Amino acid sequence: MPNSPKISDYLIPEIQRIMRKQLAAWCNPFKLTPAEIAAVNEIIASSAAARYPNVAEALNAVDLGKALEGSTITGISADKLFIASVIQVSLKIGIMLKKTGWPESLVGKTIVTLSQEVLA
Amino acid sequence: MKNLTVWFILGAFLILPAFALADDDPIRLVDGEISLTAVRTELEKDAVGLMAELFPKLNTARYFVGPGGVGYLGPKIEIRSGSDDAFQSLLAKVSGFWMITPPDDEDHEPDYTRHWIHVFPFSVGIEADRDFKTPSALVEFGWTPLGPRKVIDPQAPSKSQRFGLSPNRGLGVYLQGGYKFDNIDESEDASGMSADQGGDSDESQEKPDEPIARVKTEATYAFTMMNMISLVPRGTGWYDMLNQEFYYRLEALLRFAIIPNNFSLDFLYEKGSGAPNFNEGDQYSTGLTIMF
Repeated sequence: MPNSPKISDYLIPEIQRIMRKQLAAWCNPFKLTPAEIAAVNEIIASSAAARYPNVAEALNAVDLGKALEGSTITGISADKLFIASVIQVSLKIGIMLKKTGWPESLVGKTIVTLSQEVLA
Repeated sequence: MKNLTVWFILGAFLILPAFALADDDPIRLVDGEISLTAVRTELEKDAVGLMAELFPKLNTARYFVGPGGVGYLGPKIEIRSGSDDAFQSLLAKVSGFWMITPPDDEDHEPDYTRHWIHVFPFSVGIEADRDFKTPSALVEFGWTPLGPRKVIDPQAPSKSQRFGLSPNRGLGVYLQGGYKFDNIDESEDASGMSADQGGDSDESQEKPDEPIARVKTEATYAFTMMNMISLVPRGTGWYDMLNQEFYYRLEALLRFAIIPNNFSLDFLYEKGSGAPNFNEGDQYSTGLTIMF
C-alpha cells in the first residue's frame, strides 16, 4: 500500500510559489543570471507566472543569500523583508510558518530547501 | 559606578528583549562589517579609526504579523571609535521595522512587487561618546519608502535597482526622542585633564540631564561602475526641536571592491561627526573594510 500523502506535500509547493513571488520583489538584480532575471520579469508582469514550471525551474535553485543581498538606507536587510513578506502572505492563505527560528543565514539556502524548514 | 549602571542598562536593552522573543537557541553568530582606517583628524593628527556594525544573532528571526502589516525586532550595535581626536560614537539598540501591507495582486495576495512599500523602522537604545560621558537613551521611529520593482534590464541591472532597497540609494526620515544622562566625572573635568578637543569634542546644544527631541533625515544616491567601483555621497541632518538647532553630517565614500561584498579598499571624507557629539570638523580616512 503506497504511503498516504502528508499535508506538507500540498503546502510546500504553495510556500515555494510565494517565495518565488517575494524573491522577485526583494532580489538584487546584480546577483541574478539572465535566465533568473527573465523569470523575475515574468512575475513582475503577472503574479500568476510564479506558478509556471519554467519560472519555478529558474528560481527554485537560486542561492537566496546572494540573491537577497541589499538593504535600505535605514539598515533593514532585503532578506528580512523577504522573510517578513513570505510569513505574511502565507498566513493570509492559511499557511502558518515559523515566526522565530528561521535559518541564521540564507546563504546556501534555496527556495526548495528553505520551504522545507519553515513550516510551523 | 555610573558607568556600570549605564552599561547594565545598555545590556538589558539588548539582551532581554532578544531572549524574551527568541526560541531556545543561544548566541551563535554575528553579522557585520568592520573597517580599520588611517585617519587625518580635525587637529591634523594621524590617527587610527575603527568602525563596526554588528548584528548579534540571538536566533535572529522575530517576526510578527498584525492587522495591516508585518514586522521584525532584533538587536544592533554600531561602534565608531579611534585614537587621538578621531570622530567617535557608540550606538546600541533593539531595532525593528513595521511594513505596511500593499494592495493585493491578481492572486488576492499582498503585492510587494509592483507598489510603493512603506517601511517604518523603529529602535530603542543608547547612543554615547567613546568615554560614555553623556549617554543618551533614545527612542527612534522612522519612515523609509521603497519604490516599485521595475522590469529588470539584464544588460543594465544597476538601473533596475528598486529605489530604497540599496544602502546606497534611499531616503529615510525619523523622529527621535529620549533623555541625555550626565555621566561626566566632575573631578576630572575640573582639573582639565579630560578636556576634549578636535574631533571628539561635544558641540551639541543638547544638555546633560535633559530630554532630547530631534527630526533626523538621511539621503544617499550612489554611483556604481561594474559592481567594482562605487562613489557614495551621503547626507544626514538632525533638527533639535528643543534647542532649535540644526546639525549635519556629510560623507563621500569611494570604494574599490577587491572581493565584491567581502573585502574593499575605502577612501572616506566626512564633515561633521553626527550624533551624539555633533562636532562640525572634517576627517579624511583610508582603510580596508571586511564584510562578514
